[in-house]
Amino acid sequence: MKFTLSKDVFLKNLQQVQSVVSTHSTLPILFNVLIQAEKQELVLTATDLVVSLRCRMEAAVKKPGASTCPARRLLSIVRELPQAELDIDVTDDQVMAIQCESSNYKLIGLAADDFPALPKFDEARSVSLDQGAFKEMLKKTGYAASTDESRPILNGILILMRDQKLTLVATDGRRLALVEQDIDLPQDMQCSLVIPTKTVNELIKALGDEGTVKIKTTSNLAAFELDSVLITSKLVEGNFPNFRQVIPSQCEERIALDREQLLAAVRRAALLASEKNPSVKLLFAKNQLKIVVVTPDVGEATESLPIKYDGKPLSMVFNPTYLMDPLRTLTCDEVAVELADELSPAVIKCDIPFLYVLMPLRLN
Amino acid sequence: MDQPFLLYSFPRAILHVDGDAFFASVEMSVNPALKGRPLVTGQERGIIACASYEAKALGIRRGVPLREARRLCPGLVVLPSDYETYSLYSRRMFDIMLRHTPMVEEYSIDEGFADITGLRRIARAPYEAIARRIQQDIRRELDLGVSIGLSLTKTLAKLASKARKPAGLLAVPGRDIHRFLQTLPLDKVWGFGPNTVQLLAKLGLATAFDFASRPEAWAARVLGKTGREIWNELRGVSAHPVLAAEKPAQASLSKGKTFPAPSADPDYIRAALLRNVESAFIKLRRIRLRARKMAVVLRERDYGQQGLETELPRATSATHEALPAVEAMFGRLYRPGVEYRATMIILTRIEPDRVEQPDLFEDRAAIEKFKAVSRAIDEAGTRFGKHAISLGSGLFLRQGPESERSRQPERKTRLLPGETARRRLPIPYLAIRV
Repeated sequence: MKFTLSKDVFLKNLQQVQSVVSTHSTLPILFNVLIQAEKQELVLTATDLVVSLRCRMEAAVKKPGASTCPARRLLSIVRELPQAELDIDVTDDQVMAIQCESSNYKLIGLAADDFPALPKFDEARSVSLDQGAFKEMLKKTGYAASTDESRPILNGILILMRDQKLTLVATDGRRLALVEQDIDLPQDMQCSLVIPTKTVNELIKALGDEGTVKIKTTSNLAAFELDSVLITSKLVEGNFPNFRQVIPSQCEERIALDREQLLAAVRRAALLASEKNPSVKLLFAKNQLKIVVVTPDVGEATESLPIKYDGKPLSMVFNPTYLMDPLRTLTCDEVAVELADELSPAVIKCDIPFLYVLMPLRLN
Repeated sequence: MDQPFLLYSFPRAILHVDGDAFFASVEMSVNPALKGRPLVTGQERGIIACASYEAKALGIRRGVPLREARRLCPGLVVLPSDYETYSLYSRRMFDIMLRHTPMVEEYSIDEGFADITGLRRIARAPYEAIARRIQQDIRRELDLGVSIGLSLTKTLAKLASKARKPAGLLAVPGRDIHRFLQTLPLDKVWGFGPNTVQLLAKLGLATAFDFASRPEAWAARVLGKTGREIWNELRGVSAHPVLAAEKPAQASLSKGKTFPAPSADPDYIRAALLRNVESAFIKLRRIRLRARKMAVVLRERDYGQQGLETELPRATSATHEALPAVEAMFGRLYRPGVEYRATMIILTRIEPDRVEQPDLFEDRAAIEKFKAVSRAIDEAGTRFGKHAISLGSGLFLRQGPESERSRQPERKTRLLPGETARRRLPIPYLAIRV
């Protein structure tokens, strides 16, 4: 295999695939990136057996072929090379020679035959979505997914397509983020899949603001086809909990709040929260919201915000991070906070179909 | 070999005070007639918990089965453990240390660290003399022997106190550390387990000095963060300061009891395990903590043991919320026909129970019910004694095996006026006639 391409193009694509590469694995080849050259095109592939990422770029291919080499090392070499053309030549015994101006490197790789093949999607159902919109939806929900491995089904985002609607839901049990959008679906198209958090993060990086993404699904796999990038992923197996059931159907009080003002006040107050058990108290009184943090041995913070409120006084305690997460990712000016009582979940809504259910803390 | 690590003598002065054969010495202090005789505690377990120096001289050590010990020494004095009295003595030992410096860390029932840096002026004495005073006060007031190590770090102080047992006092100033470490094999070093020692031996190391002479980066590479800390501590640079307050948040809590005699009765074994679970959770609630992980261990007669671990869906302090998982583990561990001698429960992933983050999908009504039951258990416990309300399985504890191990310590049977089985005055019962 022999090809020439510019350092910038190679670097950009290497950076994109390397975040998929395993950090710990018993299979050495998973630390490698698969490089295939054919017909003036170079294809890079990395996988950790759950998520795979493949990207294509133009290159002057002088001799087609395929090989693999250690991804992180290759990336660190290419990153440091001068801005110029790279001449890359891989011998049959898998030694990659990289030449760039006066720099010469040799890197020992493994045979391409041993690299795991990407899953096939011959009989898959498919649907096309707007890239920018899909990316926004992932961003608005992804942070709420669980990182606790004792409930694997929550370690990802639920994607629901039904009745001409696309719904994304993520929850770790303490809060739940849901975003919904009308889409054109084939009449009989109905699907429900949970994609792992790592795949979500790769998608957010790979998705652009324009164009479409084609999603193909089978019972346990999903593929996301972009212009020059293909991401395939295993799905999280299991039954996603009945999330509709935990969304409060009615509320006692509904308060409109300036999103950025609220975020700034909570962020400041949270500076005094304890690291191990962070909590902020929100005191809703007539036309005033007070945000209070008291941490023994550290100090206390009080922030006051003018609000339009005429309901009963309420005192709610939240984990500040969970409160700030949706405020950070939303872009609207105003959010509505819906409350029932001190122990019932609070709901944050905004004008796009977005909803965030947050369980308050209890003091024992 | 003769290059010192440090040129100062005591940039920091840390003491390690370690009770000599603590439980046995307390028994002798309470009953001086026993002095000079080979004595062991741990009758209730059938294994030696602590052996006096007289018994140690005959080859009787902690962990030896009682039968074996009696064979070695027919006239052996065997006593059941009296933790109530041991804790009273422990409390007083730490009180004496606290008279000399406010920086005292209670490391365990019979050993503690004290930071006496800067106290020379107020004590009008060198560090070694301050250590000597603490040792003499404990001897005079409690009739207990302790060994004291004085050095720059906790690790060095601990090594120094072990080096001159019993009733020893060894000061290792900074400029002597390298010589002191040359005398110490690796397995004596606090924090090096058998595996680490094997590993270091393979790498050509024999003494603590060999380890401390390697570059810091080497220690960190081979043994990680712990390796770096031990390396620094051994060279007189503190990585673990003396923690004056009570121990920081507990990492685990365990309750285990050896049966008076081995038993194969599933009802009894299960009852003993569940009683341990009840006790563990009562303690957990008393110190306002909750646990997320639990391990159950069954010990067999021949000292083999099996254990299982379960992670709960959420951290809890309610006994009944944890029971189904315990029962499931017992069901998988128990093998009919096998004789067991002890059960144990270990609670880990412990955190403060002040603030609770409820889950959207949990069954709140059930959780509140569990909490209410635990509150009732605790309230009845304070009024009528521990386990006043207990699981029905507790009834099977009565059909337990009987043996000499059932013997109670004297402090439990001879009560002072006004005392009850549950409520005791914080005074030891001295067997001295005046």
